[in-house]
Amino acid sequence: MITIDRTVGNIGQDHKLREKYEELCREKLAETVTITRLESRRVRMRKTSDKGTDVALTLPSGSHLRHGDILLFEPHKMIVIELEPENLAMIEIKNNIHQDDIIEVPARVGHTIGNLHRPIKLEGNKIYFPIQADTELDMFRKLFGHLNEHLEIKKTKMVFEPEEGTEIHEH
Amino acid sequence: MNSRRIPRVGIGGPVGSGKTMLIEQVVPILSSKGYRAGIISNDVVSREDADRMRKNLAAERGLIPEDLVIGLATGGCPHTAVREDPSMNISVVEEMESKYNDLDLIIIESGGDNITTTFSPALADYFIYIIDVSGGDKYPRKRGLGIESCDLLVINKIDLAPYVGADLSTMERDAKTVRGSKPYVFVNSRTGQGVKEVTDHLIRDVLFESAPRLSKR
Ligand SMILES: Nc1nc2c(ncn2[C@@H]2O[C@H](COP(=O)(O)OP(=O)(O)OP(=O)(O)O)[C@@H](O)[C@H]2O)c(=O)[nH]1
Ligand SMILES: [Mg+2]
Repeated sequence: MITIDRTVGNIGQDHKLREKYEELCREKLAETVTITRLESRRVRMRKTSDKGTDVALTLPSGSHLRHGDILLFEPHKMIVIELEPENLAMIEIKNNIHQDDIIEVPARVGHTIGNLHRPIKLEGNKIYFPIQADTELDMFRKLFGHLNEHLEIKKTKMVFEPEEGTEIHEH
Repeated sequence: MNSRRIPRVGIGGPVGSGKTMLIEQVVPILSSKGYRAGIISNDVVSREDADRMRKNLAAERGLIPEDLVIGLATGGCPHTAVREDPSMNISVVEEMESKYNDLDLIIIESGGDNITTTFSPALADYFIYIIDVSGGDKYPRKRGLGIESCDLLVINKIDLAPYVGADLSTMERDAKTVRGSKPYVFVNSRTGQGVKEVTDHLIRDVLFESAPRLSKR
């Protein structure tokens, strides 16, 4: 078991570290530890990497893990955090909104998602939030009613890191 | 606030599923291996469970000091005290940390609640969700955040399975489907069957030790 009490950078944020990671990947010297979003907020846990390394995490209180965080960086070994991809709903707001409705559509969409206690991720004109079952897409289509002509709603699966401050609980 | 951070385990589950009784079984086993635990028991209005554990584990058996069993009456929706706003629980945890810095573990029981109960990661490092078989064998299949996301799923009261027509092999199959590789344990908290497996998980995944430690007291 190796004990990790802090992270040492992130391969998504530092391109030098990213290159090093890719190099070690090619040499099969890179390992990943996969965690869920809930676990990303934990400071104490025991995990096994994809190559079987037993890792005990004791991170500073209040810290949280991000996709790409490096747990261990040695000349011949790197262990990196990977967030488990999640089932998400993706709502794209179309470009067909009349000037008078420019506030109404996104405000109502946001209000509905917030009412159902989902955290969100915003990207351009797209809103992402987690769903547990495909049937939820139909529920949201119903809730959006007449707004649907301005929306494209799809299911997708990817790593989800919510906007700060929208990490409300989920039922 | 410079005291050592003590590992914390949350136990949640529906009303009456056996949270308190599981703690009453786990604590003596931990204690026999030299681990000392503090207990916080959340309840909606009463402090009945805390009083019961204090009597059973502290007063009668002397396994832990009486002031290491704390009852919190949360009122309202019990899950809010362990998930949305765990500040009340965290302050009790911190109080225990400063008063009993040599504790190995703090166990937090949530008030009996619905299948979406989870613990805030700010409060618990590990989360046990406990259901019982009396609702029939459909329970794991119905999913819910608690069943899916907990670190350990405990299926309790297996002694009652024949009386309610619950098929344990169905529950096992569904638990595997819903939870993938994450563990589950069948337990009878009345007799203690399966409880050692629960403590083994705690010793490994929360206390970070593999071989049971010899008695240190
Ligand atoms: N037959 C049987 N009864 C059990 C078992 N575990 C618990 N019980 C009984 O179930 C009832 C509820 O147990 P508790 O431990 O109080 O349940 P709880 O989840 O703490 O309940 P709340 O905190 O009130 O939500 C008690 O009457 C226990 O005696 C078991 O494994 N088998
Ligand atoms: Mg109880």
